[in-house]
Amino acid sequence: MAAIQRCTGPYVCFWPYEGTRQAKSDPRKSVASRPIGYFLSLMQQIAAVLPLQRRRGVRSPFAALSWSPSVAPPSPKVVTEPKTGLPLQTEHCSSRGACAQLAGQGVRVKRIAGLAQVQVYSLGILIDGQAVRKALAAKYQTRSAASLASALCAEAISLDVEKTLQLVFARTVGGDAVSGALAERLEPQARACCA
Amino acid sequence: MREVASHYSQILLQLGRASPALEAFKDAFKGAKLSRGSVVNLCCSKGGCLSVSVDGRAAKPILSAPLCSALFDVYLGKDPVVPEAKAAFGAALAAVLGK
Repeated sequence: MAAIQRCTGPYVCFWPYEGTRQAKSDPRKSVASRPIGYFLSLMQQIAAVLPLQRRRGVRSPFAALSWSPSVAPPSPKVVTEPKTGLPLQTEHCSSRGACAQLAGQGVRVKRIAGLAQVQVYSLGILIDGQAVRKALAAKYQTRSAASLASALCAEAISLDVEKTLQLVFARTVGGDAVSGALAERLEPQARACCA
Repeated sequence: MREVASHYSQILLQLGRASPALEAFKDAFKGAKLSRGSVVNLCCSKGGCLSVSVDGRAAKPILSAPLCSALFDVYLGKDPVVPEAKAAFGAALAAVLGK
């Protein structure tokens, strides 16, 4: 029997079936030995349950948040950055299972020779909104929205939650150039401090 | 790529030239070729664990809370390199807190 259980987070955990322990003791009842009809019925059960959850109003904790109000997502997991046309992930999960959601986006623009502007990359800033709420809700209970945004950005810099910077490049760049440019910027400073 | 590097140079200078975290961060970009559509993820997990991936190629995680903070300071600090991203981020977090 398939079972769908809700985790404590915004995820739905799927367990192939409940008899895992029994299957280990009895190889004839292992998943591999199940007929294909079993898996088909399993998929039907999943398809039947998921829309039901939507009708009942079961939503992601962040569904109410307008993370990217100016962008219509072409798919649930990706939005297109409008200036570059490049895709940005709406969610990034670490190997530990914690996830951060897209909260801010923009384009890094570099002015060349003081004239032309070149788009370097699209930026997405992602953070675990649930963890932020847990950590900061009480602290900023009485602050107005106007003064809050700046303070929250400052908090987010050092806040110990899942957070991701996503850079999607708009032009070709060599990785070695990255290291070279880094070293170039570091060496003068090193000379200045250590001379 | 000098533009990108310049963002991080301030951080790196603060962390120190010989910092192992800094060296590991630089190593993550070595040999990579970034073209249009290439994706770099700089993921900070709880405890200050920084995971750098370039086009899905993950480097060895770097345990450095100061490096994590410094990276985000580039984009969320007083002089953000992408101001509109910071503004949107602040508004989104305010929404998280129900403001």
